[in-house]
Amino acid sequence: MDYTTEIENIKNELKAIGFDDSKLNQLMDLATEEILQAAIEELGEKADDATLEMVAQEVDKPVTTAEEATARMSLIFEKAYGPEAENKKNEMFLDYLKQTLEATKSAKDLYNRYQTGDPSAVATIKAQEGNPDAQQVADMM
Amino acid sequence: MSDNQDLVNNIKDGNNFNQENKAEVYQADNGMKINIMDQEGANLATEALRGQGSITRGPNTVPQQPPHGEDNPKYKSMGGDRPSLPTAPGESFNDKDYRNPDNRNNSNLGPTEVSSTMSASLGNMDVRSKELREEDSHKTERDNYNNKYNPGMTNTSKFGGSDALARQDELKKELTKETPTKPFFDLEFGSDEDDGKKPRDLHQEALDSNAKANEGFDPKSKLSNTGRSFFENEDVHGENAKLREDIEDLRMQIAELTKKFDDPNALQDALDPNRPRPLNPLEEVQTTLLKEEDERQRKFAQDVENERKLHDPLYQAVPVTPEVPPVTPEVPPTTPEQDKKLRDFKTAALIAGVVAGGAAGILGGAAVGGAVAATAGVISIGGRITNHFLGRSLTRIEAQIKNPETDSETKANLERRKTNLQKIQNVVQHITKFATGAALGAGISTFISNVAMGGHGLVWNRPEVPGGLPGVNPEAGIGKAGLEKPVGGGETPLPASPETYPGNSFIHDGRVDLPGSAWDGNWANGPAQDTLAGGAENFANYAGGPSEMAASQLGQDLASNNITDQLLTNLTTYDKHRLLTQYWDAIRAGNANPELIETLKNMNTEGAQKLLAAIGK
Repeated sequence: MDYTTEIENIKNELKAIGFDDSKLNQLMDLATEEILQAAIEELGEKADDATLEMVAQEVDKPVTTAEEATARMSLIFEKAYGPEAENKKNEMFLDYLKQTLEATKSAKDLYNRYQTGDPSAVATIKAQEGNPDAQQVADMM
Repeated sequence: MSDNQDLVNNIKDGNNFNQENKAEVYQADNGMKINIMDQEGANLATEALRGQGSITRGPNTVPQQPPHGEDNPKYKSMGGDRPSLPTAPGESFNDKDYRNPDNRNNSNLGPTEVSSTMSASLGNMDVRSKELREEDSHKTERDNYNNKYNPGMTNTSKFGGSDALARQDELKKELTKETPTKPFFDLEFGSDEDDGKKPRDLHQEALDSNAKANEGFDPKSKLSNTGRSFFENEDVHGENAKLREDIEDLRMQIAELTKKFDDPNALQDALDPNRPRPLNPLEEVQTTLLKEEDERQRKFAQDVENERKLHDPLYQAVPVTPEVPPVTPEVPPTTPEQDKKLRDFKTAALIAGVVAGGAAGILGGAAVGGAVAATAGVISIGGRITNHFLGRSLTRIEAQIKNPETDSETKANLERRKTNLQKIQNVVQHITKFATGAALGAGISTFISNVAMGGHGLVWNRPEVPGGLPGVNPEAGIGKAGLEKPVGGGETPLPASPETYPGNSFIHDGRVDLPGSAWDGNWANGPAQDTLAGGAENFANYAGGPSEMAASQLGQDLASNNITDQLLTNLTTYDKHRLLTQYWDAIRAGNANPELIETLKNMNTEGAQKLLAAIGK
């Protein structure tokens, strides 16, 4: 699969639906953090003790430049997924963007139905009143 | 006039006493009543009362009884004009007079037929009587009252009750008799007279007793020795009691605080200096707010400075003191679960922003914003987004460590594994914040994938075209790459030429010069290498990544549009900061050539509009 093209297509779709450059960058950062976390989890599951020790020592070295940060990240992915690291990473990245795109479409649809007074949409959104999670989202907007 | 004559007269005149069961009821003064149904009955009654006939009730005729004269045996048996009354309990006239069959002169009266109403009344008499007794609420209330307040009291009691009222004089006398004539003490303990001893001076004894109790009492002081001792001891006891209460409270607090450490593992975890500290949302908010507040203050100071420059003839520039970089509070490490939750919220907020952006200025109202946030939350929080990434390895390791069946050697290995994983976790967290902050000027995604950046990432790039792309001068720097760009019009725009452009004090000498902005001091050089595809259009070729590329490209565009310091005075520090950020955003989103004019138009601030007007755009 040509992940570059796929991801570019999804990014264009996200832009078309309303993600400006700033939002898109933030979204990609979030996707990256998510993928990194997944890689660490994979490392904890599969890597032997010696590998884990080595990675821990390597990433613990000071980071002062972009290149050094890049090297730390790549090491984690390589040790977690081996030769499939790049494919796995791109796959997860694409998956994250796709799901965000679908979630955004669903949210737009739900909100449009809410505005037109659709009973089920109104009930769904009203049910979130007082939900601290929804409040936190509102605070972050 | 006798009672009978009165009754006869009443019957004749129809002055009935009452009517009952369709019969007229007549009553004599002595209480006798006669029920009369019709005229025949009235005639019979009057005749009978006059002693001239017999009373006939229905078919039965009762022979008239002559009035009892003084010679009547019953009259005599009852004592005549001096009747002998019953003298013993249970004795009655009948018992006395009619126990002897000879006295029962009415035995010849024979059966008398009565009306059906009377028969029913007589037959139900017992039942009705019982009912009436049950209905006698007054009596019930009275009995309850008596039982409650006069237990054991009877009418024959010596004291109390109506009997007592009637006999109060008598009772008074009786009570007077019982009143002790001796002093109470003598009554209780016997008097000296009884013992044949000298009478006791009770008054003196009382005085002596008081004197003993008040021994040491100084009328000028407030308390006697005994009293003082009592209160001193009382204070000591009171203090002791309070101390005991305090000790008990402390003991309970300690027990409560250490309860969660009853588990040895929990205690060990708590003492671990590297334990993750729970995320405090306030710290993040505080960090952001402090940064914004600093920015506002700097802007205000700058505005004041600018005003003075323009209007104060005595203005002298204040010597610039070296700016101390703001100290950012160290953000404590968080757990993977907390990070995951925060990411979900951020994602939902981004989605909500998109939904709001398409909903006609929706953020104008809190209620609408809340609905948008709720919409995004419903869709994304707890939804499908990357839930499968949630932490499991650390949790599993911790569970294995806590398993009592795990041997000590395995536990030690697991502990090391856990420590290493936590270290990696913390370092990545640190790098993420480092990368997304101003330090490196690039989002974390730029370090991960070339695909994320449209094929221009750092990590996975490998040199593809060592010589760079055709037409791209790897030595291109500020003011060189933009020579071919058209020059904008305006009041005094000069032709775009490296020879005529005097430079500016905003981006110069390979650095951003923007005090009060996080961009201040950032690199603004051209690409450090051209070994990666894209050359100057690939931020991976810049030492500072996309931030350096953004500053570099903006510097070129300022030069190509001949934006001098004079024109730049139209922009505030915030405008310049935003200009750089918009370039940075565009580059990270894959646009390698942001346009200055378009960017200024998108900004649409007052400063941007002034500058555009100044250059004729």
